[in-house]
Amino acid sequence: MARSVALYHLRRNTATSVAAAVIVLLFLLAIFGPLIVPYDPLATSMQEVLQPPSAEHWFGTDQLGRDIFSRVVVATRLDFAIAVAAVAISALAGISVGAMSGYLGGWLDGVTSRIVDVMMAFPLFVAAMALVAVFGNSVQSVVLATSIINFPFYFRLARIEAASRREIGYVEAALINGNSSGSVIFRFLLPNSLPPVIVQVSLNLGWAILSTSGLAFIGLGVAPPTPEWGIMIQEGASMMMSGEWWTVFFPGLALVLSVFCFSLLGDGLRDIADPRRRS
Amino acid sequence: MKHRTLRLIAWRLLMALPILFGVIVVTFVLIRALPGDPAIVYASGPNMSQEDIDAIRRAMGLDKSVFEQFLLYLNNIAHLNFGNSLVTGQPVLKDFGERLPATLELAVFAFALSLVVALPVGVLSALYRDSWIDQLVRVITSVSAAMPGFFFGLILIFIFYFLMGVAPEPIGRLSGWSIAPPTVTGFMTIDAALIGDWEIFREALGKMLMPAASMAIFAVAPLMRMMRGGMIDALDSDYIKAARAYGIPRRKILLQYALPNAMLPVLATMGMVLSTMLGANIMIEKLFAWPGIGSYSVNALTGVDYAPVQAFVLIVAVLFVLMTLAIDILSAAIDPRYKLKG
Repeated sequence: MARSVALYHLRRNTATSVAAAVIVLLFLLAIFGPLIVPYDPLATSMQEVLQPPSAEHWFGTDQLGRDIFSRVVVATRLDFAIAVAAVAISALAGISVGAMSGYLGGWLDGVTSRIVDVMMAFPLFVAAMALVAVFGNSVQSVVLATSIINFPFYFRLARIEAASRREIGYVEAALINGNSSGSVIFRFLLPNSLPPVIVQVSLNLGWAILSTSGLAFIGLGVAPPTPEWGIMIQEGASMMMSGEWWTVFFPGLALVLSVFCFSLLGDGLRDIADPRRRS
Repeated sequence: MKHRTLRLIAWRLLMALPILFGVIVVTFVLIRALPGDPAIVYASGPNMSQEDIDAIRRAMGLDKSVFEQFLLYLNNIAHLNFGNSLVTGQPVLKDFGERLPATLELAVFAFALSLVVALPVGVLSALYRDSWIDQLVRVITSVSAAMPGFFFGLILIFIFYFLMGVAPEPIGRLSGWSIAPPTVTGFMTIDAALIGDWEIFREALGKMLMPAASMAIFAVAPLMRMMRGGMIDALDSDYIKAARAYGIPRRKILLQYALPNAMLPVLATMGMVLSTMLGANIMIEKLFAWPGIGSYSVNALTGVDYAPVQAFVLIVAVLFVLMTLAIDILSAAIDPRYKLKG
């Protein structure tokens, strides 16, 4: 029994390390991808329409003769940039407001918590769709919409952390030492709620990539001919019925791989941050 | 006991009211904030003068204060008046009425499918913990949690429609030359069964399989995980050990004692599952050209036709709040320890 538990954690850590390594690789691709791809991701070629994967075109070509490998690699930058920007905004805003709300309590806490309750009353993707419609059909709107729908997760997390730590000894000590409420929140409460936040960030990055590509798939946010995984899948959709599988398969694979690694990393980090919640 | 449950239900209903009100306020703000003056869009004829636009504005109540407009909006909702769609030219309510059964049929079927797959497998993987079955299940859940429904749906189309040719053309609810049964419930399968047309029944069911599987894929992972976790916790608990010590048959222990208790965490995760399903519904209906409210709303959205979008967001959010409420009440009714949130 003990051996199998040990084995399990070892395996789990291996999975976490592999996931982390793949994510680092993907981030490198996001940064350097456009420099190393063999073809211009926007260059069309009517002589090379819908070619299956080959030595020249590793992932084949699409209905306009564009190199799918180049497009999949270049798309990493946009998908990751949207996800990182959106999660950064929602984490910063959610944590600040949540920590203040939980620490100060009172009517302010009541009002913000009710607002967040209403936000949570909308299914995530439906909310994202409606927000993109309101902000206008653009990449910035996707970032903003994604950060708004993820805001409640950070708000609740930070609020609970701050509320439960308000009465704890070190906070009282800091107050007695003459620290203001603001400095208590930012210097003492926030650093202590970091571990669960990091877990949430990892999971959210995956969700953000999923919802970005989902929005692009239904025609919102990123627009063609920009290389983006959701758009590529959408453009290849009709090709799946006539057998040109590579148009959809490779962008889809990139999408699943990134989301999978982010969630694997999130689960692994959760085990490290909170051993009691091991699943 | 019964009295307590009733009081909890009443309390919970009361707590849901401010949320519903908030949802209505948000959808109202949404339509105010959408780009474009509705009156100008509405009056987009070439020989429309400023007076005509003003007249339409007055007719639409846009010349009134925001507060009066909100009251007007409340009044409209109360009378189920969601305005007209610019694309179909019909009242949004009528459009929704025609499409809602298609959405519901697919969603109910997909939900049932995900339960039928996830729950037994979750139980199995809890019973044979750390065996190869469990390992396999863990890998499958991890991958399926990262699998967007629209991508999975396209893989299904490639394998079952293109390669094997066993699936029907992945477009709509029936093929073009099939005659739909007279509408009674709006559920194609049930309507076909009602008139005893089993050929249409089979066709409708067949058409539903791939979109339903694509919708279910995302829900399967959390359900399976929760079922497994709940079952493991139940099996490790003292009352099961006591039951074993009494020599109660294993079958009875599993089905009568462990399973109901293991269902509680599954119920708790249902809210998230419903949320993802309502979202997946949009993408899957779009992919399979399913004539439901999801694809209708997306088409309205990309066609800058906002009345249906507003109605869709409102209806889906209200549905979601009510379903979450139902789950909450159900949990409280099953588990006396369960504290109603609020």
